[in-house]
Amino acid sequence: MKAHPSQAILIASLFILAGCAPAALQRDQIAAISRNTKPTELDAILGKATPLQQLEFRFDRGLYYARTYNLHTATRPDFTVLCTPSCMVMHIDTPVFTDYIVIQELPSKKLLAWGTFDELSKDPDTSISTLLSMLKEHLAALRRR
Amino acid sequence: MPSPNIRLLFILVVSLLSGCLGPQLYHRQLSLLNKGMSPSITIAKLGQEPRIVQLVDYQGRLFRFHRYLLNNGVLSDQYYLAFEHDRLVYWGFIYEFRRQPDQQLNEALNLALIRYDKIKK
Repeated sequence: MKAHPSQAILIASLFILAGCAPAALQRDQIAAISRNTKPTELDAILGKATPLQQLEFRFDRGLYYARTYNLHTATRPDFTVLCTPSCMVMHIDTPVFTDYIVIQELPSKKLLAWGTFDELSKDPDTSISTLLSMLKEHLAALRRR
Repeated sequence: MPSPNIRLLFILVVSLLSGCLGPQLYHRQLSLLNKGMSPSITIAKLGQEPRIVQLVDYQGRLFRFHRYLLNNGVLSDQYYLAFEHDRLVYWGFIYEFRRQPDQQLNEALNLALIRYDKIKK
């Protein structure tokens, strides 16, 4: 089926706008992370994704470095109606994201935890879930600035 | 492959039907929860009351379960918050409760689910 010119313009515009968005983390990237991942390897794995927020924070005598990302989890089919002037229904695949976080200990940069906020907030290891509670406050304060 | 108009109609019908389900949670809201929160704080953070509150005494431990529906796109799933001593200890889908390490909590949820099924009948 041949695309209508206005359809092509809209799709091109969406691609241009998508280029402005921060690069999301993909599932194959997080699948490459493990407890033994070294700091340089971690940076290489995360390399193509843009952190949304990054900060160093202190908690209970420890110093930590946290980065948050958009994790691309799915694609949702959406529809829009375009009238130029005759109307047509257009199908657009909209990416679905969730917040993802990576935490390292400083100064060693040893990987401490990685996962969604939801996963880490209910981690059976109380030190991780407590750390997350504190980190969420820091991130909220950062957003308010 | 169905025509775009048929697909649009399908999406509209599903959207209308999902509106009949009443209030639901969304994934983004889950990051607001922290272990140790009281039941009232979780309700305030999530902005909605649970659909059902259940108290379950299992082997001397008293658990309180808040049942919600979590929007999963087209479908909604049961989502539970579990409290002990008025503190949030765990939250998740039923399958997440199954694999968390506290087996007594898992059994307590099973009792809650059985009782819920009886209430429905």
